Amino acid sequence: MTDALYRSSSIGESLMGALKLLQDDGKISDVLAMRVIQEFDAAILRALDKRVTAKSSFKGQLDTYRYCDNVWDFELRDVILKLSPTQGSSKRDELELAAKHMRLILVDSKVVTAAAGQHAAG
Amino acid sequence: MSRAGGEKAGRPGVGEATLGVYQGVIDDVVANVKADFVQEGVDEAVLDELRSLWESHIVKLGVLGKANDPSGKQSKEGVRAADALTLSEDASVLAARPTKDQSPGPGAAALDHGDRKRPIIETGDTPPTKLVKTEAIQTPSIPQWDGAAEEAAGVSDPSSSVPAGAEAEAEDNLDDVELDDDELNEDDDLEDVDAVGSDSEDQLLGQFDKVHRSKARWKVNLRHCILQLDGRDYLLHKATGEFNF
Repeated sequence: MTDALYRSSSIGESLMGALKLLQDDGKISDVLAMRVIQEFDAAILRALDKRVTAKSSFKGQLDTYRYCDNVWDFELRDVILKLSPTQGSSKRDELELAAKHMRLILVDSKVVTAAAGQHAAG
Repeated sequence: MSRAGGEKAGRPGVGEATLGVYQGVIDDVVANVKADFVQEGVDEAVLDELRSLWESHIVKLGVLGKANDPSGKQSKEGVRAADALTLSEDASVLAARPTKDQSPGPGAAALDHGDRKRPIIETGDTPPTKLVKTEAIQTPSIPQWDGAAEEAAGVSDPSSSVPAGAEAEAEDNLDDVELDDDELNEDDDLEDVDAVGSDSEDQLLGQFDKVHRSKARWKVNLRHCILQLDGRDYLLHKATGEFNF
């Protein structure tokens, strides 16, 4: 389930933590928790699509690459990132960041879109 | 944790926007599951509790950046909060915030539900122990040569010749002493480098439109990314990367 990608983000992990607490207390059932997580998957996808406008370009050294099940997994080194809040707002609004080591976990956008479409229809 | 980019007073649009977007996601999710909660017969109070737990976790992680003071030091890039973002209102709230507190505790309280215009979470500097994902790093125990000598009953020096009767015992003690050097035990395992906690390692989660390689040159086109860098989250609509293998 590639739309589960964002579950390991901070917002996703926070949700999982919160749900676990409630589950341990017996306040919500596992089924309900699962339902919340699925809703989160859809919501984060929508948000990233519609509410976010920032773009970025980055360069670095590639140490490791993996591709399996439509998922690319890169490990980069000495990365420089340039982030700008919206398309074409460049110039002074740009933020430059650097990372010594960064991991990219990427799923195929076509697969995600297809899965999202299925969910919507089903 | 050093930030190569330096402490920029205007953690700009990109960083601040995450708060608004995350808030939107939380609202979305809560609204959409309300029906399910009702169907299961679960009290709405539990839903509220879920929301507040969720929000406080996010705040605790400190990924939302801190309130910045625009009148404070400006970086030479003169980054400004881009009004193009959805959060122009939050930008003005930011300007109003005078100081930043250290602990995330008060920050958690700042997230009241039902209040759209929330004050920006004040999380201060990224706390060193920000994440609860306890990575208990196993440090190998350091062999103590003098200690072993003391423990060896009746043997003053492990390396010297010992009476036959006490030899077995000395051997055991020697083993204890040398265990960490010669034998492989669980303490010797290297912390699995790949298994670093997802929150302490800089990572980007997203989708790729295209991944292209030409000899050692890789180019990727990405979309819908959540970038976690130095303990902060940045959301990206599109991203392009070039790397050399």
